[in-house]
Amino acid sequence: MTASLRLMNPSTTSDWSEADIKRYAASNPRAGMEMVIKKYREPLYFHARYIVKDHQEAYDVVQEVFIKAMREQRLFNDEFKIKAWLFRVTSNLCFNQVRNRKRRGAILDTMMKPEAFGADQIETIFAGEQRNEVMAALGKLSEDHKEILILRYYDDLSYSEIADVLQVKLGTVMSRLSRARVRLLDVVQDSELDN
Amino acid sequence: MDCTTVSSRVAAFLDGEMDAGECERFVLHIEGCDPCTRLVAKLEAQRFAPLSGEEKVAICGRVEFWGDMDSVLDTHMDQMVLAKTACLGPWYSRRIGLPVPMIAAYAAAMVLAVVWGLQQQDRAATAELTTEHLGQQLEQERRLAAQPAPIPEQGKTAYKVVNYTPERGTF
Repeated sequence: MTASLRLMNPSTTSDWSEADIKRYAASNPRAGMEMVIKKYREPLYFHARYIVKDHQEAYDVVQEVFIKAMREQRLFNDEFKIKAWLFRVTSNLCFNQVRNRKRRGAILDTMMKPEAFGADQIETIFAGEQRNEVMAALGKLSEDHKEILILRYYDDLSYSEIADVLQVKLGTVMSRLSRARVRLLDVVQDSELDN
Repeated sequence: MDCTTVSSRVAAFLDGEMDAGECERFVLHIEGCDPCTRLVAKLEAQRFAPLSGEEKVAICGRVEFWGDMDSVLDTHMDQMVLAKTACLGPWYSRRIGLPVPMIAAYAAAMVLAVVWGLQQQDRAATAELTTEHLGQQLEQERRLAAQPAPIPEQGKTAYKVVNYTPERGTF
């Protein structure tokens, strides 16, 4: 990252609104892009990390998302929703990654095998007992349900932001989220019965 | 409100995303419906355990965490700024969505097409005029050919009338 961005105080990144970034990008697109990266790389990393359940894969996905963002002509257009677009692309790339992994037959569910990563500080933080149980149950849900639950309860997006990411109506967000929670409840109850 | 609606709005109710009127109807229903009350209670007890702010800082608060990504993205940004493409290009390129040389080539092609079109129009007009003129000439000649030659009046001839005498040979 350039010196200008390094000098920016990281605590201020959340204060930058999309409108501020676009205004800044109008005169200096590169600085605008750097602001986008600085503001969204962390939430995107955790979003990806919850889906792919692997640090390196999540890291690579986020990097790819920003490269795609640089190639996106409309990124700094007034009506363009940067956050929603970034989360949507991240979700798509993550689910592609998971599908490819399954197709290759190398299913590596790190959340279900925390002991394999016990030494790693990152994996240790992710490997809380309760977190593991819920994540294991999330893994059994459909992509739609899993995505909406992660967006709401892990990435802390509002309902309208989720509607923008998924490109659906607010009512659809409400009903899909409710169905996903009910389904998750069933999965948890089933696994408790199995144990 | 019925049980189906309650099950499709329960998340919004628990997250406080329901408007006041709907919330009132929701509460009114679950107060008189045991299965719905149980469902709401079960979902209320669900815990998702996301990472806390401190845990997130512990993971990616270190400067070196983003080091690799920064260097890769820096290189990409440099290349794209130099190439003046995508969102890192100048405003006209971002608005139109094409790189400058392509826009210039397109504009030049458009100008050439207009000039060529005007030239062709000019040529066509000239050719039309010529054809019309030639047509008129031909018509005139045809009319003249169809008319009998005028008989010159006596005494006003511009030529001399001589008698033909074969002995004299040529004139």
